[in-house]
Amino acid sequence: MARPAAAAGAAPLRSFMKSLFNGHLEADLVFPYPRQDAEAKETLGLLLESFRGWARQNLDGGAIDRSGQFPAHVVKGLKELGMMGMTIPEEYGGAGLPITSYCATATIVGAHLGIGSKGVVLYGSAEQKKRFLPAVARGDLLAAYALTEPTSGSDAASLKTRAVWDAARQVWVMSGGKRYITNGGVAGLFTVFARTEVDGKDRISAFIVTRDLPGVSTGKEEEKLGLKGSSTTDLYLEKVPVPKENLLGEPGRGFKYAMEILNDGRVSLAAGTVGGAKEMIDQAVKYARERRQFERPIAEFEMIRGKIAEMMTGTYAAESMVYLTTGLAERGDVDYSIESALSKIFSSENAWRVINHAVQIAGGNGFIKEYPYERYLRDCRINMIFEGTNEILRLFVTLAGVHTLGEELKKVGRALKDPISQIGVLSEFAVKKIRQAVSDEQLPDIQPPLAKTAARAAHYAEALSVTAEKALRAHGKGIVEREFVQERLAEAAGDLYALIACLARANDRIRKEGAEAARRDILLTRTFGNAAWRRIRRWLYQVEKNQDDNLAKVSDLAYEQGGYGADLVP
Amino acid sequence: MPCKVLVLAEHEGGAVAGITYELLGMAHRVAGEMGWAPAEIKALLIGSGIAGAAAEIAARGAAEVIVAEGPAVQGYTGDAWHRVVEAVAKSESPEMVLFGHTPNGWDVAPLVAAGLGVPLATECSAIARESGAFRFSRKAFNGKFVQVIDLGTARPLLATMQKGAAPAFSAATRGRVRPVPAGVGEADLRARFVEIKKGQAGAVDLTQAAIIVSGGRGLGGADKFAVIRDLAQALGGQVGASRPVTDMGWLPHEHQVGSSGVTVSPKLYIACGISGAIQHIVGMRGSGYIVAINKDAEAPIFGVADVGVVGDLFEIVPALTKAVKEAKG
Amino acid sequence: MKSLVLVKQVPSADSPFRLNSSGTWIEEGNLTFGLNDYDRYALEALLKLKDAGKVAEVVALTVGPERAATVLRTCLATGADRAIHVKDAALEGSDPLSLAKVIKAAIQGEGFSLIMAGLQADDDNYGQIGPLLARLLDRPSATAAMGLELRDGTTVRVEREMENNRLLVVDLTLPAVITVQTGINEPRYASLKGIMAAKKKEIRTVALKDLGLDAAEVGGRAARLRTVRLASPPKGKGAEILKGPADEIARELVKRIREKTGVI
Repeated sequence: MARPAAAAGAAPLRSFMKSLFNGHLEADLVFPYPRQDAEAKETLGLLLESFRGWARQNLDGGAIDRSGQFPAHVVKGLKELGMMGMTIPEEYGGAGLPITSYCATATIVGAHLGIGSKGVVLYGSAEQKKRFLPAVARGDLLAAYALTEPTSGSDAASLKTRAVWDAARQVWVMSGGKRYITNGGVAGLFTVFARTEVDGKDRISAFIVTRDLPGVSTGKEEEKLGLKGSSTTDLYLEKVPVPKENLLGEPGRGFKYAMEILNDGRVSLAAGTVGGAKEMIDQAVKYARERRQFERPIAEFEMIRGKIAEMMTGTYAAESMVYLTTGLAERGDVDYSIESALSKIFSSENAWRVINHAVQIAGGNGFIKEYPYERYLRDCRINMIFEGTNEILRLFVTLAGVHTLGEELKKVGRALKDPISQIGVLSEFAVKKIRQAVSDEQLPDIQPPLAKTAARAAHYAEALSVTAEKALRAHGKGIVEREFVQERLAEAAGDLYALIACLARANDRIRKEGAEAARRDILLTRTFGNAAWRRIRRWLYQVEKNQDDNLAKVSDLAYEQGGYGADLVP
Repeated sequence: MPCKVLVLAEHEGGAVAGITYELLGMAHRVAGEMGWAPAEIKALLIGSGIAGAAAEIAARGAAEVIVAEGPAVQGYTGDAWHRVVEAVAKSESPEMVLFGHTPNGWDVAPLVAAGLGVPLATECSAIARESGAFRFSRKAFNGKFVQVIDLGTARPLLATMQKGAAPAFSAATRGRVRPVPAGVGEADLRARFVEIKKGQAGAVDLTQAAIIVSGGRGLGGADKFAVIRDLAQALGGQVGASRPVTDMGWLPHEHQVGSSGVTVSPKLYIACGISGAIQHIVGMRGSGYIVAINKDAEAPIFGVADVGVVGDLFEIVPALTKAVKEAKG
Repeated sequence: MKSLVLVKQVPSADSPFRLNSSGTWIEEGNLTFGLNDYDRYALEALLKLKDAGKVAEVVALTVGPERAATVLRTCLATGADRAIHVKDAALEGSDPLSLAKVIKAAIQGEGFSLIMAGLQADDDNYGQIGPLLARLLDRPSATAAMGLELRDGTTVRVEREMENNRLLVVDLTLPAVITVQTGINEPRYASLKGIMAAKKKEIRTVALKDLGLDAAEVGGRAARLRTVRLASPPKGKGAEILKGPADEIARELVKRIREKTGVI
């Protein structure tokens, strides 16, 4: 698979969202909407058809949930179908499908391919790939990604596992422990991140650790809220002699690898949540049409309609983002890290809302285990937590976005011989320049049915960049501490990216098939757009006008009291 | 006498199959509508040892029973039977040939259609005149839609009729029996009838069942299932169940009808003590005729049933079993 | 021994079915399509014979528009060796007898000993093509097979499903046409390996002119079996509730069951 060539010193890659923060709408990156490679699409279609047929007979999600175990025949079936090798390159016995490919497949496959073996695919040497990937593709060697530790979750760079080079034995001696490792109990290959000394400096490196190495063991299966069939355990590493051939990529670049793998993983995860949301919509629609109260199907009631509409538009937007992002990823020449983070945030929260609505539509039945709703609710909750909590990702989105904006402003500032600390008094020139840039770069070739929505998108694209720039001027480097601000900018950026993705998708359909054929796309895009631009407006407005002080005070109150406050009684 | 409607009679070892009289019922209905004489309704009976059957059919609907007997047609094979049907259809040149939509009817009818070079309507539930032409109604898309088809001007019109499409003909007639040579030599055949045997015993495959009697939570226990079994047995059907029943282990899982069990579409579905949770309904609403028996008048099962009884199933089901046995003689 | 499986692409059962504007067929726009379920069993029956070394080649054939090629790829991915796609715009709406003529022309000279198909298609539910083709080829046929056994190189023993859990056993001299009932076997699913391998297998596409057939005879416009209309089944307003003593209700039920279903 094509990868951004992110070698140090190379020219920075283009990034749609970074440019947008920067005041430039690089429409050529998203227009026309990426088209899936026809052959890959068909291969995937056939595989999913096969998988669904097999799953109908062999995969009982409810039973897995109840027993908390993935039955052996299911793993065997997944292996036989070849699900374990979907994204492994063809020369190693996989299908080489793009990352678009595995939505709606079981978690076990997600962790195995999405992040577990990704390191070997991306950074492994030819020899490492030959050694591990065929068994990975067959499913004989399951893979897991091991970054998180008991004291290092969101702050992943603070990990403590350490590998020390033993020159005499020519091995890295690794000690430490990893936590909440998906596939931990079943994996034979772990992509482990550990501190190492590189040229006298403390750096994180990535290693391939196989279960057969002495000192490798895993803990008990965790009891979880959801995804009960998947294995989640601790990974213990006690003076494990890791052969030097198992070092992944260059020493000292491990943290970068860890982040890049997650970048990929997040799009896959987003795709999975879109698949789940679509399934829930199908169930909810079916239920609403069949369930009769007051002598008519509840589908006819407006409060049900409202929920269904929100489920539809949100999922359409999430899907549009996911395919746009995978399209960017597959180009190989752009940095899609912000887009992938936004896709994960948006689609995981959409799935949660969709499932929550589905539970509500099902009423009392939604709460009963005989129906699938409560299981979906539990299973999908983790998506807002793992592979980067949505909070950490929001922070990443805004900081990565305004980072380039800062660079850009610095450039202008230098041109005016004005240091960045003086940015607040920078002449109107720079601001105007940025505004000018956005309003000139309208979305291209917009078809009439979408013109109004597109104009809104362009307007708020400008507003995002102006607001971000103002925030940067106001806070300077201190913006790092201003999470209220970061959150709002990230929210606005997410809705904006979603809206642009919908527009690109719908526009493409109109251009290719005509407005009549695209009427569903037009309706969904407009409906989503109407809600999205209002949200964006509110988020941006609140960057300056807000009651953050009160929020901070209230949280302080709770912290001081150690909770709600026993004496706070009416 | 010329022939307007030819009916392919069916029998089992010489006993006339009920579908034969339904086809004759349909033939009389069509003839009545067209002003054709009842004398122009004929039946074709193929096999051996069928003299008694021929006489019965002649006494109940067919003006003439054409009997083709011989060793080559002793057991059913499409290869032998289509030759007889084709030959008789050619010599009688009827307007319409009716087959039952039965395993042998649907097997032979297309052979005849291709042999005569005329179109065929399968699994029809009604025949009506519309705009001066015969129109055949049937279900398409597994019951999701009713399809009305036209077969054009070629004759004869061929159709296989669903069971229950017309009431069985019951009036007495005085038809005649006319033997014809089967015209098929064993040496000509590329198919050889071997035997009819019992299918796999014990295997429950509700998806293929024509009749299902299902019990639900309302039964109250595994031991209470006897009433359901008795009715199923009397009807010659299978026993089905709703989810709670199999969950509680009253019956094995293979009996479960519904979204987490099997989806069934029998001709007759009798739901006893089943309230009609959506998951159950999705599994059985494709059934041809649904009878619901439940204590609760508000139970959703009555929303999908054709006919319902609000009452105690332990009273009604045994009474029904008794009535079925009486009706079957 | 060469074998052929006739397959059809049909709308998936969970597709949203809606009538078209003229009310003669369904609206295809929103549908997802897949291999007809019955045909999976027919294909599996041949693949099993191939696994056992009794059949050398399994060929899949479909008649349908461009999109129908996908089901051929499903067959190839599942284990069929090659495929034939009869594709011609003039065939839209052709009736079963015409389609059987087209199939006969498409397999001329192939020398298939065993031709299988599903008992019926999940869209029109006609259940005709198999025996129609057999008659046109002047070969024996059997429908609704629940068991299948190649006796030797010349005969196949078929167990046909009859009512009341009985089987009619018949021996057919090859070549023969057999349609299968669902449940005759457990169809396998295409693996990724099979899907990748299928890309290298041949799909031969033929049009009417390649077969020397005239659209005026076998095309949709020449169809004699014609759908006048398609409609949603009449919706019941819920059950009619019977009242009275148990005995009376029981007799009334029997009467209705007999009238409506003919099963008593």
